[in-house]
Amino acid sequence: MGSARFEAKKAYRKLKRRVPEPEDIGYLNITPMMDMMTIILVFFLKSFSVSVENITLGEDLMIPDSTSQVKPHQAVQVTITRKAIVVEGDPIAAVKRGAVDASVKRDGASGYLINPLLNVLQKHATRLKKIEKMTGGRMRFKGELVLVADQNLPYRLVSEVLYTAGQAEFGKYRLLVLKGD
Amino acid sequence: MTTENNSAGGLSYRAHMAKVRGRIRREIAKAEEEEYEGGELNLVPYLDILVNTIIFLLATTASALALANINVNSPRYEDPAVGAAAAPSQPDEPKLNLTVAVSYKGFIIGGSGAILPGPDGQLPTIKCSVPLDKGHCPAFLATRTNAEGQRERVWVDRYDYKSLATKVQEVKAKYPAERQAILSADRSIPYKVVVKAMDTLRGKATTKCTGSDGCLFDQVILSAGVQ
Repeated sequence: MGSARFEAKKAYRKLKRRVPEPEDIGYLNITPMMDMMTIILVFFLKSFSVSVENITLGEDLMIPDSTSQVKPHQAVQVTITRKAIVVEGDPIAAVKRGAVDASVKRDGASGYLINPLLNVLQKHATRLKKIEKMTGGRMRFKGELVLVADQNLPYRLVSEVLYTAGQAEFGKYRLLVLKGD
Repeated sequence: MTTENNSAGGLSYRAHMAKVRGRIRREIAKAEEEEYEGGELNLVPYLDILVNTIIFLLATTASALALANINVNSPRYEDPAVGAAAAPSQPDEPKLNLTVAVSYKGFIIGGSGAILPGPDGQLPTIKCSVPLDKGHCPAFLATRTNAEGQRERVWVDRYDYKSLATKVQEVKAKYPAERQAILSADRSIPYKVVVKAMDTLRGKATTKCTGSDGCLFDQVILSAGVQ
């Protein structure tokens, strides 16, 4: 009895050895997952780099809320914080107690035109017009300007900036606001 | 029985074990060689970085601000030396020229193309909801003590936007084709009050803007201050 059983076991082992074992999955193949992740990452990075407003809100820049639902789009960006006027990331003039210094304005304290701002915006206008020319009118210069202003700034300063922008041929203002309810 | 088995195998126990050991050694060597030869780049740390970066980017998007634009047109100024900016006057201009001024005392509504009667024959003025000292009402900076006992500065906005909306709706009902409004404000009125007044003037954004669809005056022109 015992011997027969032993023989059977032996034969079974022999047979088993002949049958090729299924390939072992030692580890998960993560290469496709990595491909996917890399593509997603690149996509995110690209979409962030072209996103319109990468503004940082804080103590000095709180933009007002509005009921407007119009989507923001790319244009020359002028930011008025409580400390400075910034065009496309470059600080242009200092703001103190809700006003720029009278010396940078063409007509002094009662003036509207802010000289350094005008210079910078005129440069932007020239650049955009050059682009329009080079692209054969495909990228038209529409005179659009995105205004990002702190909500507590006096209207006078905002209107001075807008007036100066108007002098530099930026006549279509896009006020950037937070979408409220 | 056992002796029979041993003789049937034809090998002594020792020889058998030596064979087994040899085989195990060979197997191990083979496995090691395979591992060494077929070595792939270890991508796991790289994948960790990727996953972390993606989650970080997603988290920053989720907290991203919901931004919107308000489209306004440029005020047409006269030379500041001459005086305050005047309302634009062009031949193709619509005739109403609804003008809303945000003053210290409230909203002042006027129209150069029509008479908008106020309560006492004056221009309709919407006073702020809570009149305050010196006739100044609306938005001011106040210091108050918050829940944690700290002093903080807050803007108090007392403008009566509801009455402005009612009044502008009345005007719109009379002139449904009008879409343009001129907005001006006093020099120290906070920007957010101007934006809010602009929102009130615009009403709901629609393409035709007939007034019955909730849209009031969607083409806002900014102008200089009053006084």
